Amino acid sequence: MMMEIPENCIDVQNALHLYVGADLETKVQVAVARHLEACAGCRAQADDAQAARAALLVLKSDAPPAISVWSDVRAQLLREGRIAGAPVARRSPWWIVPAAAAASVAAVLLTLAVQNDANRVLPNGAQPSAPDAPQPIVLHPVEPGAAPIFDDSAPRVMPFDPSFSGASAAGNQRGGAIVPFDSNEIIR
Amino acid sequence: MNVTDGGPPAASTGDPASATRERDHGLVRRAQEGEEAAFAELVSLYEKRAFRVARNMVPGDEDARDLVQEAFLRVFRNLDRFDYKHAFSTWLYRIVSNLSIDHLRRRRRTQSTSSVDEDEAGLDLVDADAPAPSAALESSETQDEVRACLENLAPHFQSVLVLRELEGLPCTEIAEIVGATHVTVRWRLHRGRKLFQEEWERRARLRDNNRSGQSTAADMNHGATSRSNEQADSFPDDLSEECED
Repeated sequence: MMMEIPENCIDVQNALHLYVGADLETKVQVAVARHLEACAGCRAQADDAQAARAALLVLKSDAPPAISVWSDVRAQLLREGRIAGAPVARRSPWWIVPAAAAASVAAVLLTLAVQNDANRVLPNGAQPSAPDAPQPIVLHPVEPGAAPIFDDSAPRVMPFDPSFSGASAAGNQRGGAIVPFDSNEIIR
Repeated sequence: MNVTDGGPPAASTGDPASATRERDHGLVRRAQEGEEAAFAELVSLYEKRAFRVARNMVPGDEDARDLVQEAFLRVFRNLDRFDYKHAFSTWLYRIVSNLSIDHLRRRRRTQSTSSVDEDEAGLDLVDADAPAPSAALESSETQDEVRACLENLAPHFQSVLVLRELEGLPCTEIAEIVGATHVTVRWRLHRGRKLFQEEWERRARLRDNNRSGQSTAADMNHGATSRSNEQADSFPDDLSEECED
């Protein structure tokens, strides 16, 4: 590439396509500019070269579409065994964040409402009663010598009857009556 | 590219380019140690730029995306060969431009077997009776026209023009990327701009002739001459290097 100071129109015209991009050495760039000031023919050629370059530069304003290749690159590297197959952090659905935020707000509001209700003083000055606590289940042992509650004449409750309430080591409560747990009942 | 096992990164000089270089080298080092997140960050940092280079060299977003994906795969497969004397971006640009050049050469070999007249096929002639296009459409058409001119150039001119004009890289870095001397890069830049101008002006004449309804035979002939000149310029012996990462 020409590095010498251009001395005539041919030299200048050979340098124009680097001149328009300021890609010449400074001293050559200055010499070409000086020549162009005085030479209309070369100046016209420089204008044409500049116009073509300006056309090329319109691609700079072309915003490329968004691109994300990592998931595909990673999948391929996994297939090749080049990276460990740790589970990929899955992207949450878009609604997860707003839903979680709404749930948090609702929880806070609910807590505040309950606290306000507990601190509320009734018009007569009384405190509101606490909500009914669950009553403890009291199991009464069968007294020795008492008549058997369970007899064959009573209607039988089959083990898988929906009314069967379960069994415990202490015994069964059936229809309000306490009966000792009989493991044979299961298979009867 | 001459790549060797990692050495210490260049000392920071406090400028942004140096900071970027050190950040990238740190990520490469962590990726070499097996940290997947570090490589994912490199991909995230550079995929857009890599895509822009590929997109300005090969037609079609999908092809460009595939090339970028392949480029990052090659980067990962050769991470242990990264040469810390170079910037990561230089290495990536080199792989992307080499892949793009290979893609274009394969594509042109395929097209050369086609009987379609490229001058006609590659040129969307303007319909004089059509309504005036909007500014956005006009801008998009101009971009398509510029791309068509770029695609008409030989790949090694294209890569230098894209890297210099559209990515704004200095000739010294382009020389590293394309694996040529600084003088060769300047020659390709000079020649590439000249050939682009000739193609741009030829297409402008065709558009004007089409609008005025004149015959385009003379320009078509000129286009063929221009193309043959370009082909003669396109593949000088010393420029026929193959893709090597």
